[in-house]
Amino acid sequence: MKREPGRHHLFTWQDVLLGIAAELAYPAVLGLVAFFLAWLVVRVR
Amino acid sequence: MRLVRRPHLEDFRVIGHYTGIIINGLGLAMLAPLLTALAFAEWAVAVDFVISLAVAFILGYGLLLVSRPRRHDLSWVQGMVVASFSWLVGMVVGALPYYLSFHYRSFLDAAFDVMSGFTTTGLVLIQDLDHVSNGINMWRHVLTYLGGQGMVVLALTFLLQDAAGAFKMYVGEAKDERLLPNVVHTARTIWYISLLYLAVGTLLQGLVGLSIGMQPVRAFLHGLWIFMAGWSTGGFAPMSQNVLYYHSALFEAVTVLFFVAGSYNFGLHYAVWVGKRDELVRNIEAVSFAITSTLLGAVVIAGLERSGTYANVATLLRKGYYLLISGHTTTGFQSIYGRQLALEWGDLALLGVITAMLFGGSAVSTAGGFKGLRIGLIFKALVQEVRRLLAPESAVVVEKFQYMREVVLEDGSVRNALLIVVLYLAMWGLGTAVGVISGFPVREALFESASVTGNVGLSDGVTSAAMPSLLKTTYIVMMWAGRMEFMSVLALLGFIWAGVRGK
Repeated sequence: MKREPGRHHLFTWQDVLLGIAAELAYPAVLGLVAFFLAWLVVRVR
Repeated sequence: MRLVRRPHLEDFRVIGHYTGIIINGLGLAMLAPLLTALAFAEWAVAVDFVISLAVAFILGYGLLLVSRPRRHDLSWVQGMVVASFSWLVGMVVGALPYYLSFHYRSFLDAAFDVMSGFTTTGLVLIQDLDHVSNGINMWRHVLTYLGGQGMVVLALTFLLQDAAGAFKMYVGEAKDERLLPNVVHTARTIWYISLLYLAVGTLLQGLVGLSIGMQPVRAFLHGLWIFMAGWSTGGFAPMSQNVLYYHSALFEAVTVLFFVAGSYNFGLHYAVWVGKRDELVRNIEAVSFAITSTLLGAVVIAGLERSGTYANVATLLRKGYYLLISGHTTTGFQSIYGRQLALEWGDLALLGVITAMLFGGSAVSTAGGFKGLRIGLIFKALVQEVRRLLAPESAVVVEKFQYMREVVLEDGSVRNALLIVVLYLAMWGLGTAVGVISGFPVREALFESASVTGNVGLSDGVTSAAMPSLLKTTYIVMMWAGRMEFMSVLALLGFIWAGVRGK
């Protein structure tokens, strides 16, 4: 179905839920990278 | 010859009309704390809100009554002046319930806290926060939640069906990207995204509250408030110890998810929600945030490791990285005491946080600071210049970036980005100078000024009810100008100047 621009129902529930999950996963991934970095810094010193 | 046109009566009518609508919107928002106060039988607080609501409506409808413009179309100057002026009037009206609560030493302190909330900064001058009523706490968090979306966005969503030239007010509030062709639909979409997140965030934060032993009503009330403050990158909390109060790594971790999501561009949310999820890893702001937060994370971690502030990796990360991300997204949730920042954190770690606070979150979001878009644009412009130097003289060097769609880098956007960054830096310098004049050490004044400039709200102890009125007033102006990204504030000043010297 073609989405009509300018209306809220252009969001589908599936896209919204997957979107929120992806958006919340992003900081979690950054946090894991930071943890690895912290571990590395402490190990090196 | 320079020609400055003196404003006409019609200019004042248009500005009065739209300011009236926005103040009415703020009055409507007072229903949330009023109902909260009634639900918890806080009768005196409810009366305070009835009085404040009446004042807001008298002022709002009074302005509508006396203004009555012939045309509702807005010029650029009018739109910009409405945006900046309504935030000032909103500050005064919003401070009424605070002042009536007797939790403030002066009206200036109450106004400071309103501006701090509206601009999603999060610095507080409130007294005895731990014993504040639920009604006042609801107002504090509603203010910051509204401020995150924007007062103009609120009015566009709920009070205006369609307004010719409303886009100019919307731009005045530092939002220059339309998600949809129609600005009213854009405003509604911003609210749709925020309200859906409000449901998800309150539920999750409330469940974590339950898991750490809070009573159900309290857990979900705190969950709602902490979500509102996190999503709007505001940093208020219902307890004076901020998120440190909860003593839970899980609680802190969940706040990170929501304040990072809150610092995303609403355009990015929109793109991801209509299925373009790869925008999360391609968007210039998301990439910029990932790079700067990782690099500055390394700086803070190395700094704390050098100063030996924390004993192990887990604590170092929980305290150090949390504060960095809280500063970078301009949230200002604090999991350590302010004086620890000033006295126990080394210079290197502090430098990392100061830089992050100035960089800030994304454009068209609830966040402050330079914004990732401008950092990305300036970096791209630098790359373009180097490529130009290396390329043959006749070659045309084109630089592109992903910002909801592929965009070609233009000199005009780079100039604009550099100008705004220079203004932020100048304001940071001014705030530091006033801090030092007020008697604070330069290191502490630099940190606090960066926090105010970026609308962050982390504090190393400078901000308190005891600080001089000059510094409070300076910080209020800085928070306001920083949140509006200067242009509409400059338009308001220009408008006043034109009134005095125009022809």
